[in-house]
Amino acid sequence: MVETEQDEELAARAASGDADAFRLLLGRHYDRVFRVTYSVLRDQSEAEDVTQDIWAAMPKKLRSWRGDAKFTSWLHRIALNAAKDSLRRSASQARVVSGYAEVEALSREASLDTAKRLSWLQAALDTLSEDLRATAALTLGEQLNFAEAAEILGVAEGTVAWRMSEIRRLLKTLASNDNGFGQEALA
Amino acid sequence: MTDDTDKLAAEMQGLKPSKAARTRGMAAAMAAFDSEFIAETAASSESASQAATQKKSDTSQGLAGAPRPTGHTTHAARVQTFGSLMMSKLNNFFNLSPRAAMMGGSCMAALIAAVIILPNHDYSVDPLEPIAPVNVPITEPKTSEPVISNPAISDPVTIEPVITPEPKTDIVVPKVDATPKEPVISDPEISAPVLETPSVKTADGEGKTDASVTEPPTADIAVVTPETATPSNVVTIERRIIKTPGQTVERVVPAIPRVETRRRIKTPARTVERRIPPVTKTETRRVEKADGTFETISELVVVQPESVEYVTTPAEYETYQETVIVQEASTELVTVPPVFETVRETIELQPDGSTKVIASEIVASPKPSEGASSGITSVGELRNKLGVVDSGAAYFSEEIASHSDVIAPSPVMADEIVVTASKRKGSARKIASAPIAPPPPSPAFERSRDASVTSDGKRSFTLPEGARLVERAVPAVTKQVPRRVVKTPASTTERVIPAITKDVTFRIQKADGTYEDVVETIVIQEAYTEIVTPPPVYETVMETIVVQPKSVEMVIVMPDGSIERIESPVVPPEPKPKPQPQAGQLTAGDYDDVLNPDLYKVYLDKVLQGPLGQRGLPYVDADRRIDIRILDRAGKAVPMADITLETPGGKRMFPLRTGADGMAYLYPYFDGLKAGVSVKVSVDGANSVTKTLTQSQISNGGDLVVNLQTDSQAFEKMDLLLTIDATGSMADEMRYLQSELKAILRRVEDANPGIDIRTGLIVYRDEGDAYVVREVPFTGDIDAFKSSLDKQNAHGGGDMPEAMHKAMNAGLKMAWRDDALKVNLLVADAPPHNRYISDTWEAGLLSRTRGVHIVPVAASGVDKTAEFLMRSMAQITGGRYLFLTDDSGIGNPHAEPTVDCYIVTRLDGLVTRVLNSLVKGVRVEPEAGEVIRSVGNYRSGKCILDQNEQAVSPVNVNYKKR
Repeated sequence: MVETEQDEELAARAASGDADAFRLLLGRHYDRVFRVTYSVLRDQSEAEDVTQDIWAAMPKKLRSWRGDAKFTSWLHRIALNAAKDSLRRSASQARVVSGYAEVEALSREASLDTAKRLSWLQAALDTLSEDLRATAALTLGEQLNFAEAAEILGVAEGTVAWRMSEIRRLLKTLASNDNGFGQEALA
Repeated sequence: MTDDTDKLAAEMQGLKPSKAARTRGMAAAMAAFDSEFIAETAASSESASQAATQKKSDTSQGLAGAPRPTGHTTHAARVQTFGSLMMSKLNNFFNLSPRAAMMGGSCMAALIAAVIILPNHDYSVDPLEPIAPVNVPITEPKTSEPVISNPAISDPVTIEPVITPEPKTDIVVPKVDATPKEPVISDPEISAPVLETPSVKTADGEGKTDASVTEPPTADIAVVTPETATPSNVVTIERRIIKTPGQTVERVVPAIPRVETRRRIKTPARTVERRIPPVTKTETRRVEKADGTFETISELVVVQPESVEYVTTPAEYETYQETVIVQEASTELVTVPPVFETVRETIELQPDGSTKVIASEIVASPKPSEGASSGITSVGELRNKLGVVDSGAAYFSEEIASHSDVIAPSPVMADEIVVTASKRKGSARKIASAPIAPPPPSPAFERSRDASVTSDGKRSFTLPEGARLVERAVPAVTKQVPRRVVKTPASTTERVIPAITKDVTFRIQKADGTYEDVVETIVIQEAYTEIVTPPPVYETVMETIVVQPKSVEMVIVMPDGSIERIESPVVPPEPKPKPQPQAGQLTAGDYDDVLNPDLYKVYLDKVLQGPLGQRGLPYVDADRRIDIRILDRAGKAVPMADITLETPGGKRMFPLRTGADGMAYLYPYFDGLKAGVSVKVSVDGANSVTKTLTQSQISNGGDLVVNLQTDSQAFEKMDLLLTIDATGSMADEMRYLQSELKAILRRVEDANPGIDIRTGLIVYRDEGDAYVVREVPFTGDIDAFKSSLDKQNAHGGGDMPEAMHKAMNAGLKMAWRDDALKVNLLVADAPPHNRYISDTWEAGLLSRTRGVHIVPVAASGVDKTAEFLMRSMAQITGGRYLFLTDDSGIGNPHAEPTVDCYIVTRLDGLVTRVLNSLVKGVRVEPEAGEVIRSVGNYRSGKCILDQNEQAVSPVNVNYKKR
């Protein structure tokens, strides 16, 4: 297995049953999916759950991957959609797996360590609307250019540009606001 | 980006899941993978096991690249597999989340294993031994290729035709019976199977009876069949031999000329001066004398003084024929396939296994297939196409050799091209040296050269044994290109329009009571002068351009005949002393892509289909642009109107703001517009108006006029930002701006009384220079600003691309006034680095949403990528593309812009006019005396094309979004 192998090649091989290729993709991009889902969900454990669900569903989804787009673009789109779906679902979704609470408790414990660091980030994300958070996740978090982000988000480049202006404006508002939690972003 | 966005980016990039969550998630993903692909991997595992049985040594299924051996046949693995299956079934049945399914499936599997499988398992069996292959019968591998390997073929008595297990469909080999028949060859040329040669040994060169096939190379054997009489040691075979080997020929495709009828001026327009004599009349007056009597006197009155009239005789035209090169001459490689013929040979098989050819005859000559009639399929056909009549020894005649070179397998000599196309020995002949691209140096030789470069830059090397040094003249490469030149430049003439008069008859009552008719000439319209500007007259001339000058190069002819080039050191031309620019000496033209959307599309098509198409440059579909025009109740343009777009689903897209002309622009494809998108227009003090885009507007573009019940207010403020590339190549432009800017601003103030102008500055260089971006905030103090500008100088740079993206983003952070006209004058000659093209373009997009007009000034020798970015940014922000020209002879050579028409004036005048246009919302044209030169058919910023020079867009343009 060559470490420098392209994602698209790995995905094609994984789609045909190559577990090593899938494992490599998993290692490369597991955190990427988490970053995107966290940016939208603003909750560590929720984002971890959704990330896990996304990757568990990935083998089946890979079968439908046509390889005509960048793998990461495809993955970003999946992550964003899953995160948005999760937002819409009830937070108190019934858990069917016994013993899950224990595992979840471990996650929460870990997330507490980073809670302090995340306070500004949390406030910043709270300032932004869902669309702006998704845009920020791609342009700022994943360093995609406007055109790539626009394609994933299904909007025009001009819309991404305007959203970036809005993000900048709202963050400025946040910075100038003493209580540090800004105001609700535009819908 | 601001600090806040940088901080947010850093925080987001640092996000990570907890280790426990990651470990758990990755394990779940791998389990899901196993579940998803278990059926396939089990099947492939079985197949692999069969192969492993035959190849006892191969047990490495788990190696990288091979399918993962999830179908382990150990019991533990089967439990795991069963668990995965259960997990999958649970998942499908209950529609559970994958994690839930995994846990449930694993639990059930463990339970079943504990209760049923493990207690009953016979642990004496090696758990690692594969189970599947144990009872698998070894079957003969099926072969699709006909194999002739019957040892009886060496036996003269028992020879039999070989019956292939799966003969190909196009060859039918009958079974041997008492009277075997000839095999049927349906299409031996196309798909004769390759038979293994040991089965029938043909003795080439022995027993040949036909001199024409002396020593033919064997192509392949068509079929083997026994003699028809009785089975014996004599067989007849048919085999295909190459009659003429295949070749690759370089063919010169001549240029395609086209004769076009053009019109040119035979006699230019002339203006003749004509004297108009004075108009007089005789008036009769009654004059009272001193004695109280009246006297009637007549006097001459001048009604219209003598004047001069200018009469212009129109130009006379004549048509003429001109040859235009539609397609340049080029070369193409033509592959001539080999010509085959089928030879039937009667072969006697010797007891020792050898064969002897008894008889040989040609049974079939190849005929070109019908389908190939349109192409060249044989050397003969190629000769016919090239017009060679003689088919004798001079296979490639002189005239052919002059425009075609055969790429032969033999080496190309140093100062000549050896043609070895003919199959006749000794027919290789020398032809004149042609300017072909020499072969690239071999890596080995390259290394040896590199190793021997001396300290003074001279190259020394050791010739390999047997090699020789040859000087080769490389002729100049010239090209004929059509160029449109101004035959008669545009000129401005003054024409006097004579007065319009009318004779009126008055009836005057005389003293004696009688009446008299007096005719008087009344001037209806005074004479006046008119400025007439006839457009320039053009003609197309063919110019010979030296693409590559004549030169001499040294080459080494290697022992094997290959050629190695020795590159001559490149001596850069002596730089010419440059005159220093003085006030008003830089000249420039402008091109308004907003006014020429169709031509902009042609430009985009050409650029994006070329090498620049790979750089992720934006495609802005200006040809389908929707022009939003906001008018007030008096029909005047409304500046600063806010336009908000929303999707049919109510999602906000992006805002726009009108300029002084009340215009804003939408690009349906680029902006991702769909029918039903709402356009809401609002301005302070008036009710907003919302319009909905129609499918017709999306497909075709056009005007979208919105009337607001308001009174428009002109811009009273202007924020002008100068963004200047301050690297070494921009010294002239920097000095020019330092000397001219103040005068430019004064003229703008004079033209727009009361306008409040602030100026700001961003100068930029590149990473690694003394600085990357420097800012001077907006100020209304022009003297203070000039002082800041004067402190700047142009240094650094080095490579072509500069940090334009950082400068543009810094410009967005400036404190622009919301109610001011915002202009960013971007003076540059270099593009950003490739990796920052997107960033630069995005700054342009952000400028659009902020209502900043980008007015690029392309300076000396602007790069094509820079030009593209600059024009695209001007297009979407309602700016205008300015470019320096060489007319002043000042500064570095300026690139000829790829625009269709423009007029050249002084740069300071142009910048003043552009700023005035943006403030007023009306295009300001130069005075007649300002125009130095005119290119193309320029009509107030629009390019009017003649019928003969319609813009042609490349066909089959299919762009994807970046």
